[in-house]
Amino acid sequence: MPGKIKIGILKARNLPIMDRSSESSDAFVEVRFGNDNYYKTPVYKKSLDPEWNSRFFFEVEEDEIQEEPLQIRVLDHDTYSSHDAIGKVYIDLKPLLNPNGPTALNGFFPIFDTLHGIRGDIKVQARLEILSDCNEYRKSSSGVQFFTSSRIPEGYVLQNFCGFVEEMVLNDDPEYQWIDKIRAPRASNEARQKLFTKLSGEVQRRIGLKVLDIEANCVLGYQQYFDLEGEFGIVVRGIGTAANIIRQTGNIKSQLFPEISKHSKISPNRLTKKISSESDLNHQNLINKQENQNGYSISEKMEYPFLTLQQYPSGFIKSVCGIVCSRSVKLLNSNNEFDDLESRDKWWIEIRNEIRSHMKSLDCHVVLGYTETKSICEDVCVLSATGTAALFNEAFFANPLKRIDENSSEKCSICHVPYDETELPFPVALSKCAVCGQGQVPDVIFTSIQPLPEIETIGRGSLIKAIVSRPRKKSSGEISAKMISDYMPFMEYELHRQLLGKLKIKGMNMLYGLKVQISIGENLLMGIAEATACFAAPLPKPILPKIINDKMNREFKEIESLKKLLIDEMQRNIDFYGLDFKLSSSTIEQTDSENDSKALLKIELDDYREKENIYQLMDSAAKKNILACSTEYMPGIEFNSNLQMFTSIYRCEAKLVQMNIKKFNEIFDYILEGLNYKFRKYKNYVLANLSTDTSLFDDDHAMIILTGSCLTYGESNIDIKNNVEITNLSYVPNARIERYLGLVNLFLIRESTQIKENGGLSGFMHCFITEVLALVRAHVLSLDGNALVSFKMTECVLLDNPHRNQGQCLINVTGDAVRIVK
Amino acid sequence: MGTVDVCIGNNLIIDFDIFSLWIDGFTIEQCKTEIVKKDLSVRNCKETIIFRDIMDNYHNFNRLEQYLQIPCRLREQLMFQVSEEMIEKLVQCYYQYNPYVMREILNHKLTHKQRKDLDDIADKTETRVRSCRRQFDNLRQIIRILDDLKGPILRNIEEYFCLPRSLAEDYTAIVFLARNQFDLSKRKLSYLVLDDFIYCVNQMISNWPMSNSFEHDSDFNRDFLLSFKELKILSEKEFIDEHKRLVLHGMAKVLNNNMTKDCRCLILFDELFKDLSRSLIDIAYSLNHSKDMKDLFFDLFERFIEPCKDVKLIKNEVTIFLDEYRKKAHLVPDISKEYPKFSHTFDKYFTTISNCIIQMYH
Repeated sequence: MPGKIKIGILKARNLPIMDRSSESSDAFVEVRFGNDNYYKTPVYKKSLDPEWNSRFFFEVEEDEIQEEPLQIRVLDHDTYSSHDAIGKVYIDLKPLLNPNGPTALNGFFPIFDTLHGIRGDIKVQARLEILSDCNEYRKSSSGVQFFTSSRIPEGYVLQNFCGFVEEMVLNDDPEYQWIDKIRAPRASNEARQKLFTKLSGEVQRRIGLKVLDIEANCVLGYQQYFDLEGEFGIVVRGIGTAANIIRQTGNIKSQLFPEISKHSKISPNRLTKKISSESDLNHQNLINKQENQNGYSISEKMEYPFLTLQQYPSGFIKSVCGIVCSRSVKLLNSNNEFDDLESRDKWWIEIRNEIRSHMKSLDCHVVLGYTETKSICEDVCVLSATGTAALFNEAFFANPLKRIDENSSEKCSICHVPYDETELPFPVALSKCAVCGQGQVPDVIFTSIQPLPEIETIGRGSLIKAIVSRPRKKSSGEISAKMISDYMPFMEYELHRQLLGKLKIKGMNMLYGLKVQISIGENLLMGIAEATACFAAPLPKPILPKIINDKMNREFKEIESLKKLLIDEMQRNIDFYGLDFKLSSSTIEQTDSENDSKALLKIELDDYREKENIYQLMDSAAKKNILACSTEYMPGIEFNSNLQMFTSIYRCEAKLVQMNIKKFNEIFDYILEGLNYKFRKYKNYVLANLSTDTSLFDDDHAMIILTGSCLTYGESNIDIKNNVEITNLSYVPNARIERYLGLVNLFLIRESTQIKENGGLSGFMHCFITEVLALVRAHVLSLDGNALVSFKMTECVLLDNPHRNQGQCLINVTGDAVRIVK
Repeated sequence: MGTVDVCIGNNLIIDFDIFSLWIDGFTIEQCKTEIVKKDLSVRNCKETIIFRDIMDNYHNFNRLEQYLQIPCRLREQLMFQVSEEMIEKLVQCYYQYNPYVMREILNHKLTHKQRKDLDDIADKTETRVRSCRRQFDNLRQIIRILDDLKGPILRNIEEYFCLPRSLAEDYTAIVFLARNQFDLSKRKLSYLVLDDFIYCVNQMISNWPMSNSFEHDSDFNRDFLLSFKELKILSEKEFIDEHKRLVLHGMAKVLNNNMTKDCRCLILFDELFKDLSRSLIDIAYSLNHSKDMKDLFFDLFERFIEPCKDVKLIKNEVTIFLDEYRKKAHLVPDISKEYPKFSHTFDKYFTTISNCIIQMYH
């Protein structure tokens, strides 16, 4: 249905000097929306702070608003030659479509030029008047709210989940079109910015339609990715969870999540003595089965029972089983009968089906914390999907009042395995739950979700990182794809082995927020896994990895000293993280084969290299005293205030083939140490929600981006006076989110041909990221917000040409604009 | 070290130790050495990590600099999130100057050529060239902005540069010196430090009325300066002798504690009186010529301070003399008959000038 956008272009300030002789500018503004709407303000002569006070309106279609950004272009008037561009502003009007969102948009926006960066600010107002559309065949899907935060928004109540939604669009990348050869860099960059913004709008509109189809009212945990496939085009993918939520009425105090459970000291032997009778066990299995079937039938309704959220209301999860993951290597230019988009669609469907079958084989009926990622190198790409297989409480939606009592009864049940002991889906060592003594629990649990407050943890958590890298032969096409594909299982195994080993030596038994990233370079393959480890009370205490020495000739002494080293390290970790158990003699000396099978981890000393591996499992000295985690919450610590969100970018120039795991580990340690140094003035802080993004370029450099938040605990509230808080967490410590104002999704390109003059590539990147954050803040402010949560830099590509002193960087950032109350 | 190695946060966190080193023109490498020297706690850290932290700070400072040059824009810019207190602190640090450097800068006209020749000043004052350049640019920037503004200089400086009162007052004086191109470069004046000039100029600014017209807001009111012409009457034959008698008489009364010294002092002033008095009146008489105004400090030195110093008069004696000179001028008989507003004009002129002389007498 038609609508009307009322726009006001009021004034600008601090414009750059465009006319040297008069040291001022003759600025005017062009406003465009879609293909048909155009407006031009009069020229304001000789001023760096012009005032136009132009007000006008455009008549538009609703679906246009969902796709098109409002384009504002500031120019310097020139009588004799063509006008000079000062810069542009793209404004997304989607937040205004939301019935609960802001009604108008008003504020100063930095004027951004792809070649010069921010050049002054312009004050813009926009208001939307629209007639709602009830037509069944409508194109627009306004009213569906999108949240990138991977949890139920604060102040809302979840009514039900309606399913997994995804959409994908494919387009040519303007950078790779023939016209780019004759186009000026600015025009090319702007064409890309415009197209990408539009595509992301289109993806959201289409997802919105699907959401309306299945009668949901919002998308939670929305993830959007730009796959830059080079000459094959650009794919914009969006996935999310369709759900129905309603605003909580009244002033209900939002439940602070998670509640830190008091460290109840469980004597390690008390509960294990309790022997449950056979019948008990059978009985429980029976119930399990019944419920399983019941749950299965409901989740059957959804084609893919995948939920992209990482945090769930308490009582929702019944049992967590473990990570499910699927990867597939594809060739981008394979000429099959389908068109490009269709073939890509098929690829993802294959993967999702695989995930679903994995889930089923674990007797689970839902996948939580689901994500899909894609790594591309020339014409080969690796598609990955992971999530946590789990069971959810059917009763949760049926009986909202019962929710709370139910979960309070048996918190440990989440850890209990959902499958029968006699029909194990894979070899696994089960033992009795250390809390209730009845359920069967596995040795360790790996999950991709945020820490569950229901599961009691002891002590503090810790960041665990595993890196695998392997050189590969330079090749292309089919051969290259096959090689990567062949190596994938080994990589997966090696990552898993490292994670497990590190977890054991840490004295912990549970992983939250596990994220694996695969990077492919021209001649290197790399995998990085990060997670937050903690000691979950229901799971058994970890036992020391066993060192097996097959060769008799190895000196006994050496083995003993290695053992000693491991024990010392483990003891140190137990003390440091406050895990509160002793390495009893039984855990140290595993006697026979019976224990062996349980130990899951053996270190075999076959050759010299294996010894290195033992050292690798221990934290380097640098990392030892830094508290860090990859999740939004740190088990065992309650945060006070958000000190700073940081983005660390490191690019190393090295022959990548020569890079090994040790070298990569050194780089990460170096980055962490740098952060530690920056925050040295604060005593109690945690580097939370750490996330690394690694990309390998050609064969000579790698870029590592580490983002995270520095949070303080146990200190008096440090009040940081700022206008807009930006955080990559989905909440703001010590503050309540009052209102969600819409998605902020910016796509920006910056190019410079004066890299050396402006502090080198470091200076260039520093400047660009500062500008990006400034733009994000301006968008939040214009929506009357004061914070942005779930900030994420989904894309950051830096290309450079040192001989031409040139560099180009492309960044996509997303987040939820909110209003918070402290 | 990587080719890109940066860390950026949403809140601007500034390490003021590094900031002040940056202001003083330290390179990153020098800054690192300095930090390691100063802060014992960082000794255990790897040098590359300290280096990287400093580099991050420097990147921020380099971006901040464009706003620091027009501090009122710091409040409205969106690039950095800075609190009001932080703005004050940053600006105050940035506009801090080294008096020796500033003194040297004021010796010459603020031209582009001088900017290139700051090396000499840097050598002479043992400051870094970059620091000199910043101080030079700051002054030039302030003058440039003030050129477009109406009203009192002090208020404009406070408003546009967000400077604290005392610093703004100093700058008012410095701008005044620079704008009126007072000649401070004479070798004989080289013993005077910047504070002497600031004091003198502030004396003039606060006691003498300023011109009201927009273009000449750092000039004194012309009519006022012209009125000094009338003071010439004091050096006329019929009055000067009487004035001398009164002054010496008055001085004898005030002095009288150390006979030999006092006698010497009185004898000296007896000899010098006519020259000194005539010089003081001549200076007043000539102030309305802008060229003579430029030489004010030199004239004061050459025609008053130097003769006194030559005969080794001490500061206290000169102070007493000037005081008596001022007081007794009103008592010279019949002088107000000749020029009715004499007392008023004379006081206006002489209090200020005598304060200047006393400040310069060291």
